[in-house]
Amino acid sequence: MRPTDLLRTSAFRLTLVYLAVLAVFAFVGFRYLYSESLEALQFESRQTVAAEMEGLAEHYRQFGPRQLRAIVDRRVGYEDRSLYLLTDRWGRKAAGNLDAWPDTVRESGEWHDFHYRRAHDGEPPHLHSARAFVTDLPGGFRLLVGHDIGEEVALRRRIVVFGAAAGGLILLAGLAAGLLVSRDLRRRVEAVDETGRRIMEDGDLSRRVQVTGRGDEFDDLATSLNRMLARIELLMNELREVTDNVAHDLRRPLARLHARLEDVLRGPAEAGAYRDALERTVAEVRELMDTFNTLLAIARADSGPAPTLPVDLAGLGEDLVELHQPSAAERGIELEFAKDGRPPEIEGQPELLAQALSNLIDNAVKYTPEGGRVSVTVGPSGVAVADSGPGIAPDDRERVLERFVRLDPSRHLPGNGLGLALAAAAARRHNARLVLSDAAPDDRPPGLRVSLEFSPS
Amino acid sequence: MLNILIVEDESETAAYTAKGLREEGHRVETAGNGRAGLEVALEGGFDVLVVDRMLPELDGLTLVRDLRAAGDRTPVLFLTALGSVGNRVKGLDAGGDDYLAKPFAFAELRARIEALSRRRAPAAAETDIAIGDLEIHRLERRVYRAGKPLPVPLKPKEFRLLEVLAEHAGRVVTRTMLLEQVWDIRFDPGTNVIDAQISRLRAKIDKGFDRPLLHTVRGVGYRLAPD
Repeated sequence: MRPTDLLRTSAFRLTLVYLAVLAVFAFVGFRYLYSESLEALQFESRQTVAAEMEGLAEHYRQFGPRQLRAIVDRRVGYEDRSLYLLTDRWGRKAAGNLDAWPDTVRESGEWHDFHYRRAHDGEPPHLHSARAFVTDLPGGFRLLVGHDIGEEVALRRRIVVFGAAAGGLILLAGLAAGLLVSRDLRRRVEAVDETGRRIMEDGDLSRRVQVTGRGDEFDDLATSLNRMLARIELLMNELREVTDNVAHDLRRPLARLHARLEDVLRGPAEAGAYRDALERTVAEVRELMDTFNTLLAIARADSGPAPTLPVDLAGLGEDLVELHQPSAAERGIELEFAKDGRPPEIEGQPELLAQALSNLIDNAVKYTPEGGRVSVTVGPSGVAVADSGPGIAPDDRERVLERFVRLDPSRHLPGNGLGLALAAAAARRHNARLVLSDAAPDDRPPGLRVSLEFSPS
Repeated sequence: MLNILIVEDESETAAYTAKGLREEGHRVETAGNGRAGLEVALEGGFDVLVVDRMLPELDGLTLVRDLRAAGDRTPVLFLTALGSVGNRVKGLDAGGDDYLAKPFAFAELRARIEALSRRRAPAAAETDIAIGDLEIHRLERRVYRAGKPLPVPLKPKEFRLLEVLAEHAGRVVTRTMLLEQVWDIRFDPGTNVIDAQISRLRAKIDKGFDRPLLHTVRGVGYRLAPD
């Protein structure tokens, strides 16, 4: 990662914005503090000067210029930090520790800040800062009373230097922290990015994003991404399995078809024989299409998302019984529907359940001998189809749920061996169980009862 | 005779289908991709459009959506290799009128095209339908044969079955069409199921009369007609 890349990260940009806002507020606050403290210092020095000026003016009014000069001279002797200048009507210095009016001080009745040159404690003379007030006295005298504000100036300078240094340090530290945070965030985003890129490159869905264990939002993101990857991986594996199965399942009938067509081609070239073969082929292809569609339905039931629609199990059962009744009656079988209690409330794929239940009814009608009975019962646990047919031996019950498994006694009947497999897939999709049992254990034959039992949700 | 447009990129399927429909006396045009199909369809004058779901340049769903957006209400039959429930719903939502999964039998396609083209005619919306001496009064849900009520009244599903056959009177209605339109079922419910339902209906409307109205068309479906 180049440094310029780091500067482009959103975390660093956010840091810059944050620092800018911080700087503006810090500057405004500092500015306020500065001018407030300055004003307080100024006020103090002006108070001192004003009080002294008032005292001296009063002295002058009472005792006249001579006394004023004397008192100014006296004060000059011990007031090290105060400045005085008294001039007469001709502008000549009468008393004080300033030799002449400073250049910038002209108007009387006003405050003046100015610089003056003076020697302190035996040091060579240098510039000092002062604040003074000038008053015109009666008789043409002018009096300046001032105060050295060197400390105030020094303090002001210290505040500015300190403020600038603190501000600079804060900005630098913020910038450094921003860079560090950006680098860290960038690294963690790159970890996710890297995993995604690798998966796209080699298609290996078993890769996962690293979870640091800090439990922060990046860990949350990584966890849900990993969960998504796991789900995709599972679906892909299921899909692969389904594809393999479908390919395998279709190979057999295709081979049979192929063999028959070749056999006809090897035989005599007679229009009648050809037509016969073609008709059988069309019929077989149609069967193959049905088989294929059923296999797809099973595959779909076993993978992919499930649309969750409310399913009216009783209505479904009743409609399907009504649909199958005439064909059952033609075979001399009594098909009836019964409701035994409140059916479970289920959500799922109504069409898939309808197909599964229809298969169960069709099977029952098909395998029950003439004069038998088939009953469809909807109750609290789900739906059951019971017949008075030969039943299925306990050892075979698991096996008949697999695709294309047909037990020997039924091989002469039409069917592709997928009906129960589809019902089993529909059961899996709805978290239900497909249970095979004897319909009437004491009778001979015992009959078969297939029930679709939903677990209470 | 119907004017039919087939939009299908697989040229062999398109050619066989067009040939079959022409032999039935229809006039057929074909388009090999979605964009061309939309252009031709927008020129108008077709009774039925047969549109494949997956087409180059412009997929079938978009084609039909654009067509509907342009105000064209020509009936559309979607052909598709995508047969699942969700895909069928998507196709109907886009403005399709019927949906046929590949591979299909030609007779099935023909019956559905003919059924769709009749949708434009008000026949399906009529409250009273007469076929020969059979009268169906849909509002009262009564059926008369030769001026008299049927000896054995029809059950609700049997009435619906008769209604669907009557809506397409004179035309073949396939078993899958009956399953879809009467029972709302889109899978094969098993051996003989529809045939037995038809036999029962036939026993109620045709038994005891000289001229049967409900005919079986071998290998395809059924037809309700006076001849």
